[in-house]
Amino acid sequence: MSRDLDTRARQAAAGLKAVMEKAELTSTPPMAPTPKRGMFVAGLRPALVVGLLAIGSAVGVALMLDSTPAPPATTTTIAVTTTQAPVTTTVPAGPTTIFVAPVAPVTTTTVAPDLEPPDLVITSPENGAHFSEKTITFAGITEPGARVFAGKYEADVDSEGNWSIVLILSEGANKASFTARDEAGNESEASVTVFYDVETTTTTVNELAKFTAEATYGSCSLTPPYDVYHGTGEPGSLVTITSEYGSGSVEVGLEGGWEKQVFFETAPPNVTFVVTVIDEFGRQAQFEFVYLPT
Amino acid sequence: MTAGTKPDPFTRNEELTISHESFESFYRREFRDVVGLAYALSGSRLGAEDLAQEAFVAAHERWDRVGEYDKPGAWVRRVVANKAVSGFRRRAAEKRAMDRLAGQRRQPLPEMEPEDEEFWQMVRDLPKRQASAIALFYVEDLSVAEIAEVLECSPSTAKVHLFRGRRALGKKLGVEVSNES
Repeated sequence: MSRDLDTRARQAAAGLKAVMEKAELTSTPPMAPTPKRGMFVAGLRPALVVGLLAIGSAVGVALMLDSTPAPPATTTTIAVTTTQAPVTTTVPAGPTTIFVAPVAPVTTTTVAPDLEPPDLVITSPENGAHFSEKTITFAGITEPGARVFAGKYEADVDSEGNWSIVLILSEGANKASFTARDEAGNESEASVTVFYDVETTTTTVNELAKFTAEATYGSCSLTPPYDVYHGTGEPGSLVTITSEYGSGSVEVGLEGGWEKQVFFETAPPNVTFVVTVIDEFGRQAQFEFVYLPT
Repeated sequence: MTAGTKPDPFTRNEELTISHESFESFYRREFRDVVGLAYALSGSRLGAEDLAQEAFVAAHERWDRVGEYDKPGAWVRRVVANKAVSGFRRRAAEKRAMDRLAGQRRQPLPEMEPEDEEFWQMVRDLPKRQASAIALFYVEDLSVAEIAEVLECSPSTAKVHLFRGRRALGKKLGVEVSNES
């Protein structure tokens, strides 16, 4: 009985492998040379290499002719795919010694430009969602290696392309637009509209525990730079720290205290920028931070 | 390596003396197996090859770094596993494959036998990490330690994924599962 699952699974795996052995895969390595007219690619097709012309300063073109007897009149015009004018070469009539060079390992590497925009999807929140909280985490998926921006703010993106960023909503409808940019500079856009509903019975600020915020350092020489923010607030509420170069959030403890270390991984050196600390009731404080690498 | 055994997909050819294997060599050695993994996890005859190709393109773009890994194959399989179990990414790959098919540039993978397809569908119905662990175990013949490397988790966590996945499959198939794995 205990063999049954393994037997069944290995049978299914064997079936899959059999299919894969039959599969006609047409993909080529991303860096594979792309044969182009007039350019010699080793192994592309049988050819007799009779010469090598240097055209211009950088373009090497190997002339490929079928290995058939040459006609007496031996003026041959060969069109090559360059911006140069057609090349005419004259070979003397009569017996000709043709030096057939060994096929040198000429390698033409043609990397097709990446013109495909990165995938960008917003997985959370859903379009049209309503919130009673002011700070919302937006999250989604993009191509691994791509960067995601919400306006001038950059989202955190992990190595698998999962991204997230905390944004502060305004009362009413909020359209959050995101841009994904891959390493080749291709961009995709996606947006989602959510609503921040201010409750009419919202607890008045006077009833809340006092909100305070302090920055511990204000500058940092380590890489990546960071600061530690701390203070007090309404127990159980969310405090969000945002800036152009890093963000984070923390829940106020039951005792009314909070502390959060925030890394500014993309902060440029020697540039002072603003860090905003805000709680979910809209109370906020602002600080300056500067990355001072040694 | 014992004669007749399958080469470890994550171990480079020991005869290679270069410290940095060429990407093309790596691609040609690994690509077909990775397409198989993508097929098992996505079930898409159209998108599997594209999923694998995308993973290799990503590896190529980072080959200076990925190529220095002890097991670059694990990196590619991790990307494929993540892409294949993601509905969004799978559909995106299928769409790209459809676009290519419209240009007659690519054939869909052959169909599996119905009972094999049924088994892999059951695997795909498992939680994602369990599905990945099962596919890596049975398709790629990886050990628990190797599965852990691909899934970027501890061996004990990989073992739990594998155990739960096998247990769930056994329940669906109405069979018991041994603990030998």
